[in-house]
Formats: sequence, structure tokens, C-alpha cells
Amino acid sequence: MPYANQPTVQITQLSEENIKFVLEDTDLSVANAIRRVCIAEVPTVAIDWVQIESNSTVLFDEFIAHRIGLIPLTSDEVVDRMQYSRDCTCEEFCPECSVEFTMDVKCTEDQTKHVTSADLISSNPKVLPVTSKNKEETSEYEDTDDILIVKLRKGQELKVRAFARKGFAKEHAKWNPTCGVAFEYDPDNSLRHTLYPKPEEWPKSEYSELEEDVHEAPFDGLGQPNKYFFNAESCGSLKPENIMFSALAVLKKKLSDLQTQLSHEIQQDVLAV
Amino acid sequence: MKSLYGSVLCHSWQDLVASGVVEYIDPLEEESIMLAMTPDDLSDKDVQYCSTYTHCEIHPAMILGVCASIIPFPDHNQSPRNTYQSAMGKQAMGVYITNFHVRMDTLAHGLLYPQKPLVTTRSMEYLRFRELPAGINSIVAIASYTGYNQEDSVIINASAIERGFFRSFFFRSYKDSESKKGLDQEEIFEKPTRENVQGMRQAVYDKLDEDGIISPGIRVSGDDVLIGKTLTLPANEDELEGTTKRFTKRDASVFMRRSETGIIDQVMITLNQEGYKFCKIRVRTVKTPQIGDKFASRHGQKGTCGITYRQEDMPFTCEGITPDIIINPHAVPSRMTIGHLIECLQGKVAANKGEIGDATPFNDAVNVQKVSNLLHQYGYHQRGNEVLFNGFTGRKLNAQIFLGPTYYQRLKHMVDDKIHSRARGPLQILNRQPMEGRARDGGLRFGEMERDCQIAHGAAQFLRERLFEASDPYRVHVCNFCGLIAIANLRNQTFECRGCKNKTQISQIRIPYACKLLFQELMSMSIAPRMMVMG
Ligand SMILES: [Zn+2]
Ligand SMILES: [Zn+2]
Repeated sequence: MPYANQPTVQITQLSEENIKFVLEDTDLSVANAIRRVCIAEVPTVAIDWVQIESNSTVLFDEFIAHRIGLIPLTSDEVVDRMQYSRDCTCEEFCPECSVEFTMDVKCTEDQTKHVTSADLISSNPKVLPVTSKNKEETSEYEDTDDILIVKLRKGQELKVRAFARKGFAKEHAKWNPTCGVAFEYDPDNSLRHTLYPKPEEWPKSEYSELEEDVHEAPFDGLGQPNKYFFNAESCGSLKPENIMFSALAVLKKKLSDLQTQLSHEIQQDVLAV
Repeated sequence: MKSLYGSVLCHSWQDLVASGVVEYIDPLEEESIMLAMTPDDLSDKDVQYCSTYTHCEIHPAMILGVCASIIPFPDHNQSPRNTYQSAMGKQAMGVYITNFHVRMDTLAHGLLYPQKPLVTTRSMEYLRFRELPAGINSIVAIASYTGYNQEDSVIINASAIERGFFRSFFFRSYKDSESKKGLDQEEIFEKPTRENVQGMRQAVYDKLDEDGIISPGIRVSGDDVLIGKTLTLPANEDELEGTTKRFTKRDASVFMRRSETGIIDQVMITLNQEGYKFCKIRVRTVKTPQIGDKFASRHGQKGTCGITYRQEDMPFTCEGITPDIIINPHAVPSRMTIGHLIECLQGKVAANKGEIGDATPFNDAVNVQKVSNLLHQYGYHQRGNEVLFNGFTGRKLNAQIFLGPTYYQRLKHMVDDKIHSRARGPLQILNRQPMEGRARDGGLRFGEMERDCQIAHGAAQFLRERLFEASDPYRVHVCNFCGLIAIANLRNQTFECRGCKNKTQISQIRIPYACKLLFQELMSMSIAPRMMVMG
């Protein structure tokens, strides 16, 4: 039954951080797969290799390496054209599969110095810590939301060389492009997938279609979940719409891989008989 | 009371103590004072419990000590649970002192990202617990999910761990010093060489610097040398003439613990009290939570990690919130730690409000209904329950789940410090039985109760194997007449019992070495244990 479902998408909100949409006419498994893929399998770029050339700060090397790795990097324009390091032809790192970062900070004044994501110098102007993205717009005297890595006192120094690589969150959470993916279906609980002992105690969903004094929709014993409310928030590494596009591409690739693999297996079975 | 209020005008603590309004009580005095819990008890009432009060408590919460003052809502817990937490808080990792990074403690655990608790007691302020915290505010769900949190185990969010959740460091310091005993007995730090140093182990000596001490930043693992030290051998006079001794020194280096790995964090070289060169080396390891590690809330609710699930596999709310920890609902009813639940509820309100929640005991201003009403105002279910969705399928869970922030502690008992197995290994010298303990690569004790089981099963041959063949088998020769151990010269195949003038009637028997040892010890005490051989 090809194309049995004709799902529809209605985008209700799209901002720098969020994408809010309603997905209709598809199975719960499909909707959940989209949610899961958004979180775990959308590739982004994150620092994955750190060389500490000098570190006289109060935090030890592993601590700093871990903190640097978690800084979200803008990946929109590069991830799709980038190679996974493991698939690349190069020995270790090359511009095809990595972005080099350097950092060299020393505190020479009596005041404590903050080492932040702004001190990371990228070799690729398209791949930057998210907080450095709109640097020109913000004035110098304004408080920045640069991500703090470590604080230095007089005489302390931190010198680092790092490489960012392509990856996805199944491998490590630092490659996760989302902050959270809100997901809901059947807001008025007509399917009774969950059983409220006292429906009147429960706050109503923001997508509820019930009257003021009604607390729960009547039981629909034959119903199936059909309408899904998403709200994906980006951590900044990808634009929210790109997270969704990338997620669908990943999901599509999984299915086509499965299909080719299956047809290969069927062919082999025919030959074996 | 009234006169006290009037007469004391200066209100500094010192003034209050000096004027006797506030009095410090020592443990001996405690035995003889009559203490009123609240000023209310002092006022005249119809039925008075006591009329001879000598003192009044400043606040009922002051009956609690340092450890118990960290428990939120202890007045809602079953009392043994507060006792358990009071013992467990000492095993929690955190900031045990602010200068930990310069100290050379023999053993130190600490959290990378400690947090001050979201729900606090007023005593914590004076104990400085908020400045020296020992835990993390975790989103905790009390749910039955996949079954990997049964029997006091917990499910932990693997993605959270990757983001630094309960990551901890471990410091271990090793120390040694040079010394001089007599003229020719010298202990010196140096890099031992195989040419002239006796008794060097199968270990990597190359990591040492020229001065015999390892330098910071080097990765070390089991049995690596940290401090190279040699001991000059005394010049032996009955050495064969003409031959020069090959070994002039003996190895006395300090080695890394076998089961540990790490990076050299800091090296300290100085002189000790006697004026000898003295050295301490600190090795650092980062420990990420894993299956088997121990965690606990502040209510005597401890458990080990049963499994870690990535964020997408964890259950989630309609807002996309996933818990950091899932504990089992069975952990609550029989233990009656209601404080745990109220902490979670209060934590949820505090997180929404953006303020620290109060959990001081014996405070009537905070009660569950008030907290519930506040939570309801923030658009949540008043009792803190939420509809959760199954992470694998996306389907709503049938039951609503109690979920909210709870302060959790990581305890310093970790599997990797305890994991142990052995097949053959070192033996004790005295009784030739396997060594005891993980540190010595020892065997696992097959104890009396295990022995009892095998007897009950009738598994005699298995018992023999465990207790004899796999432990300390030995053979001796006994005289058939007197039953005592005979002289056996196995090279010439001659045997003799001098007492019986017997050279032919000798039997070889197999007994545990410990048994032979016991018999010899008995013999040394003038008791003759006789092994009479039959047939
Ligand atoms: Zn490459
Ligand atoms: Zn004899």
C-alpha cells in the first residue's frame, strides 16, 4: 500500500530558537521517530579533539577539554558538506572533515580574567561558537552571554589547540542540536492512553479543544493517535528548520537503506533456493 | 521572659552570650538541664508538662547535628531514614574543602559540577553547606520504566552524564623519603638500572625522570613506577673472592596501585623533619558515572545505577523534559520517606519561582497544601505528577508520574574500585592459602556458609576441589605405627620414623597445608596429633 498516509504539516511558529508545528495523518511511531532522530541522529559539528599546550588554571586538562567540547558551534552551512572523520581519506585532520580552533589567553592584570567561548579562534568563519555569531551587533559595554570556560588570576595561562568534527548525539550528547523537543498527542486524552484518577485535577494542555468546565474528552475506544504537536528548540548549532530537514533526511536514508538491504536479502534467498 | 526582653538592649551574639541570655551547654550539662522546646512551653497553660524549665531551645531544628541538618523536611521522615542519611552524607562527593586542589590528601573525591541545593534548611547557612555543596539538583522521576531500576537501582540519563552530570575527580597521593641507616645502608631517589639493581619488578621504569621521580602530566596505569628508590646492599664479606658483585643496590621504588590509572597531577619534593629528601606524588583520575556506581538522595534512599539510557530513550513530558534519574516507586512506601516527596514538590515550586525553597524542620509556615497550591499556580498538577511519554514508542505511560528536582548525592563507592576476579595468584606464606583482598589480587573466600550449602547438596567432590585442590594441597609421610610425620628423603626414596625405628611401614597422605601447619604447631606445644593410616 504505497503512500497510504498523506501526512500534513502545519508550522505554527518559527523563530531563531524554535520551530512549532502540528503533524497530522500519520502513525505515532512515525511521529516519535522524528522526535528521536531530532535528538539523537542529526549531525552537527562539535570540538572532539583538544591539545592543551599550556594550562596553569585551577581546572585540570580533562575538565577544560570537556567544557570546550560542550560549546555549541554554528554548523548550518558546513555539516552537510563535511565528511565524518572516520570516512575521510586524510591521516588525521583536514579541512574536509574538521575545523581547527585555537585559544591563547593569559591574565596579566590584577583583575580576574574570564576565558570564554569568544576566545576560541576558528579557522572557518562559518563555524563559530553560537555566542560569537552576532558579535558585531552587540555593543562592547553590554553584558555578553559568552560561555565561560574558566577564570584566570594574574599570571595564569591557557593555550589550547582543538579540532571540531562532525558527529551525532548517539555518540556523544555534545552533538545534540536540540535543547528539548516538546511532543504531545491527544491533548484531551480521548484515547485514554493514560488514566486520570481525577481528570478535574489536571491542568489542560495548551492544545486542548475542550470547553471551560469539561476536563476530559469522551472516550474514543476505536480512535488512533493522529495529530502530533511538536516544539523543537535549538541549542544554536543548527537553525530549527534545518534540524527538521536534517532529521527527515536521516530518517529517509535509514528507510532507503533498509529497503535496499531487504531487496538484497530477498535476492539472495531466491538464489539459495 | 518579659524582663529579659527589656533588660537586654544590645543584641549582638557576644552580648547575648555575655549577658547569659544564650548559654552554651556541654554534653555533661545536657544531662541535668530541663529544656523547653519552644517559648510557648514556658507560658502558663492549663495543663503544663513541666514547671521547672531551666533553658529553652533557640529553634527546635537545633536538636539536629551537622549531618542531620542537611536533610530537608526530616520531620516528615521515618527516624531511621534520617539516621541512615546522617551516615551517608559523609560518603557523598562534593567540595570537602576549598583548597582541595593544592592539598596532597592520600585520598580525595570531588564533584566537577557541584550545585547548592534548591531546597535548603536554615541550618545549612551556618554550616556553609551552600558554599561547600555535595550533590546535584537532579530531575528525578519515580517510575517503573523498562525494569532496570528494580531493587534499589536507578536509571540514569546517559546524555546528562556526557554533559557532566555527577562527573567526579579522584586524587590519590603516594609518598616516600630518602634515608640513611648506618654508614653503608642508604636509600636514595634515583632511576634504578637493571645492571646493578637487584629485585626490579616487571614494570615500566622509563617514565621516571633522571632524578628518579615521575613528572606531572604523564599518564600512568597499574604497576607503573612513580618514585624510583634504591637501597644500597651491605658489603657482604663471605662473598666469593675475586668475583665482583653484580648487584650493589636493591629496588625500593613506589609503584602505582595495580587496579588504578590516572595522570600525574602534582609532584612535591621537600625535606622532612630529619632533613632527608621527601616526595609526594598526586595522581588524578576523572570518574564518570557508570552502571554499578552508587547514588543517594538526602533521605537514606541509596541505590546503584542499573542502566544508563540516552535522552531519546528516557521518558519525557509534553514539554520535552527528560529525567536525569528514575527511581523505583517501591523504594518509597515501606521506608516512609515522605520528606523525599515533599523535597521534590518544594523543588519544583522553587525551580518555577526562581528562588531557593525552604525545608527547615518544625516549620509550620511550609506545608504540603501550600506548596501544592503554589505549584498549581505555575500550571502544573498540584501534587507534582505529570503525564510522561514512553521514549521508545512515543505512547503516553498509563500512569502519571511524580517528577521534579531532587538533590542527589554521588557516593564514593564505585564498581571500578571493587571489581575483582582471580584464577590462580599469590599465596600467603604462612599457610599457603590464597591471599585475601582485591589489593593483593586475592581469591574469593569460600566461607563456612558456602561450605554448608555444598554439604547440604552432598557435593563432596566439589567441596574437596574448592577447599583443598584449589587452595593449599600438600603431602606428608606418616609412620604407620605411631601416626606422626616421618622423615622422607624423596631424592633417595628413603623414609624413616626415628621413634619407631621404622623404615618400611610409611604412608604418603595428602592433607591441606594449613592442616599440616596446625599439627606441627600442636606438636610444638607437646600435643601429638596422630594420623593413623588404615588398611
Ligand atoms: Zn579529513
Ligand atoms: Zn612411628
